[in-house]
Amino acid sequence: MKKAIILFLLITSFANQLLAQKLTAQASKTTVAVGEPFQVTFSLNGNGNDLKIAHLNEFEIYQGPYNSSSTTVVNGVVSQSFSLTYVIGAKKEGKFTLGPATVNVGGTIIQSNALTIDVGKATANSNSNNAGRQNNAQNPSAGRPAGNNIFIEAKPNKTKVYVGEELSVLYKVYTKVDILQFIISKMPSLDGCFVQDGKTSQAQTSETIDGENFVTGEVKKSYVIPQRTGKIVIDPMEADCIIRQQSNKRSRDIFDQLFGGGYEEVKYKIKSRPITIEVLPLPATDKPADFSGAVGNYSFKASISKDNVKANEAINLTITITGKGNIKLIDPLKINFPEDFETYDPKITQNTTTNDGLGGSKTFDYLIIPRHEGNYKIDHLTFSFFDPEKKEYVTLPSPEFNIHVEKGEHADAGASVYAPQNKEELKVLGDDIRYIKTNTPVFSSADEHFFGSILFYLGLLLPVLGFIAFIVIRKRNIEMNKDVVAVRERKATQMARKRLTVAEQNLKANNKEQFYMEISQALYGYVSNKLNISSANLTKEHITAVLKQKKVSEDTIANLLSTIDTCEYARYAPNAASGDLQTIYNNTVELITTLENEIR
Amino acid sequence: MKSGNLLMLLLCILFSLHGNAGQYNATFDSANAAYLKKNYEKAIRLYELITADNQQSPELYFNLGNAYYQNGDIAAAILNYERAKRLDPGDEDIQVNLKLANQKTEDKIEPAPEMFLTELQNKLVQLMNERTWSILCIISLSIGLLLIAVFIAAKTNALKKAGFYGGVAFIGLTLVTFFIARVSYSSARRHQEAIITTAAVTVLGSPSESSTKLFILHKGSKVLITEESSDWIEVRIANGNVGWIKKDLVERI
Repeated sequence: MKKAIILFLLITSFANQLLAQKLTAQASKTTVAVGEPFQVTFSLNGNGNDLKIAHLNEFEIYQGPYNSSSTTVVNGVVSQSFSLTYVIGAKKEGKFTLGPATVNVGGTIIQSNALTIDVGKATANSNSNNAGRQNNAQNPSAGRPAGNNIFIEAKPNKTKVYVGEELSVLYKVYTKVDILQFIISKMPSLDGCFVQDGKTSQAQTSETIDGENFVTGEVKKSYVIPQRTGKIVIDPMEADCIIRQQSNKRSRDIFDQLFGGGYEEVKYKIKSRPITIEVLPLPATDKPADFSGAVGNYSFKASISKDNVKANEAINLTITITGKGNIKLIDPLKINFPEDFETYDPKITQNTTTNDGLGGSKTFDYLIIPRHEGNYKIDHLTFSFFDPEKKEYVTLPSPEFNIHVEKGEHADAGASVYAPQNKEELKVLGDDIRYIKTNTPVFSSADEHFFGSILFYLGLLLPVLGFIAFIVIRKRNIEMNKDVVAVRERKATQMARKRLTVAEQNLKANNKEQFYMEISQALYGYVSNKLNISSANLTKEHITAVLKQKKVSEDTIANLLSTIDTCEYARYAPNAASGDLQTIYNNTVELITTLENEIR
Repeated sequence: MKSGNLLMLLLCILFSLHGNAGQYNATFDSANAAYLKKNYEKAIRLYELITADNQQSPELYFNLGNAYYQNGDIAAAILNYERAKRLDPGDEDIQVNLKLANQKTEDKIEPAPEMFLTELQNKLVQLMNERTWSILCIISLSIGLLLIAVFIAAKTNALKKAGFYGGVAFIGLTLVTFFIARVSYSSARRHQEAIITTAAVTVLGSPSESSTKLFILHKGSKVLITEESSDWIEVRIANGNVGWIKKDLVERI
């Protein structure tokens, strides 16, 4: 290594010899942010003094100047070189000119080139570099500019992948110098990706890049599985490393020079280049219905522990998926267990390997308990995945499982003891509309309405008409009935008078029996007609009640009853009858007149 | 004479129904057969043949609604379920399917609380169709008058009392049923309710294209038409919001 550096210096010195004396100004960056430190080096291949730099005041000098000079004697020819290095930062935004610098070489003034520095806005991370500012000779963000001694490179194995397809990113460090310490200070953050680290080989190899030999070592290997489509940028990896470098300062200590002196430990901050990965969506065509995002190449196996059990005995259904791909991201399969089975969430065990890509196996253990006897079937399960190499979907089926469940031993006992628990709620398996009606419909015109139609009003009118008819007929009947009563009432006195006339004739003829009969008939007939009592109801009690209702005085009623009694007594026992016939006759006439007055 | 005329009228109606009934029933049956074979488009076409002849029945609208539902046209399904419901408000199948179809519409409108009497009236109107209410009205009038006649003619006090109170109650019931039948009739005749048949409708503040946009309704939502001008209608939705839309964006129930 050291040899190589010395050789390099010799070669450059020799080359300088051929050139005329020249002053060059070199900046590590020409585009910087405000406050960002950068290095400006003025070098002269020869001897000179009195270096003056124009416009340096517009920048803030962080460190320096550092002098370095070297004298080389090759084949008796002495060549000298001299350089002056500043670490400076811009004070404000804008475009500034630095330099030119002038130097006096043996009486002649040599002018250097001027540098134009473009100063942009201060960025947040510009200050974070302060720690490494002192020796930050490399341009950290530019990845690998020519002439760098150390850098990291991130190498993806592919830059175009499908969603869920795995890619690997290998971070390698390339160096031409001795690395004392290497610390990864910032891991790349990967939004929308699943990342798993893989194994790296410890061996150091050498590689030649652009004709330069580098020692390389694998720092880190990541397996990245993008979870979204579009462009994904993998941020740079940042590392702090301490290397051993030949010192710029000339050491005054002889021992230093003797024992590996002239070297110093320099802290570098290095960064890899960001990588852009294009993530393609999975093809939409021929996507199986049960596809749930598995990408890779898998095999699939399903088995049940037993297929002939008693009710309430547990069965294990084991599903194993083995293969290469994002095995961690495989979801449990959707299994249509018979509705009556009690099922639990699966126990998931997984075993992943990172040798030569992600892979492994994942096992889902389902515990299922049939609760009732019968024959049940688990439809064949399918597992679908997308094979990114073949660029097609693959669906793997499992066999169907037929499970015969016998009646459980304690089913009856359980049924009587735990009767309420055995009741199951009706399971609603889905919602669907009710089926169409198939009975023969009665069609009607769309504009047809019953309300307001003639039929409706007729329907309303009919009962009203019926009611009116009822009222009219009833009224007429009452009227007619009323007439019959009035007629009988009117005729009552007349009839009584006729009977009394006949009785008077009998009286004169002294025909007692006939007389009493006529008197009795006259009284009964009068009461019957006057009070509208049918002959069937013509009892003394009824007559009394009706007369009382008609507010006839008690005396009159008693008189009437005694007269009727006398007549009836006389009729059935004529000889025993007492009293004057004339008195009875007069009494009867008087009684009828009183009744006529009192009945209202 | 009167009853003779009535009989003639009834016979006429029965005959006019019977005359075309065979043809419509045949179409209806073949439409049902197409539905069974999941040929929903054919079923729709056949059902619509009957409706095109201005014929209606709850079964026809219900089956047509089902066919539209299966065919994915939820708005048309709702429209026909609503029509079926108007003809037979008590049918459970119609209510269930209408509810299911309504769950599939985009607008979820919370109905605004209504006054107790309005709610009661709506519930009563929706209980039975206009024809049933009308027939109930006639029946209750007949019973009411009969009971009043009993009241008049009764000889005993208890019968008189029963006749009087019963008669008054039934005459009251007659008035109520007449009122409900009238409300039901007028809403059915004026076709005040409508279903949005356009994918998305912007409801405006006034009947003019340039007026303020109030809210957006989607296909299948039910609106009540509260006012009408030449080609604009003012609509009210269940939560009480009111606005104007173009007439041809809705289909009346």
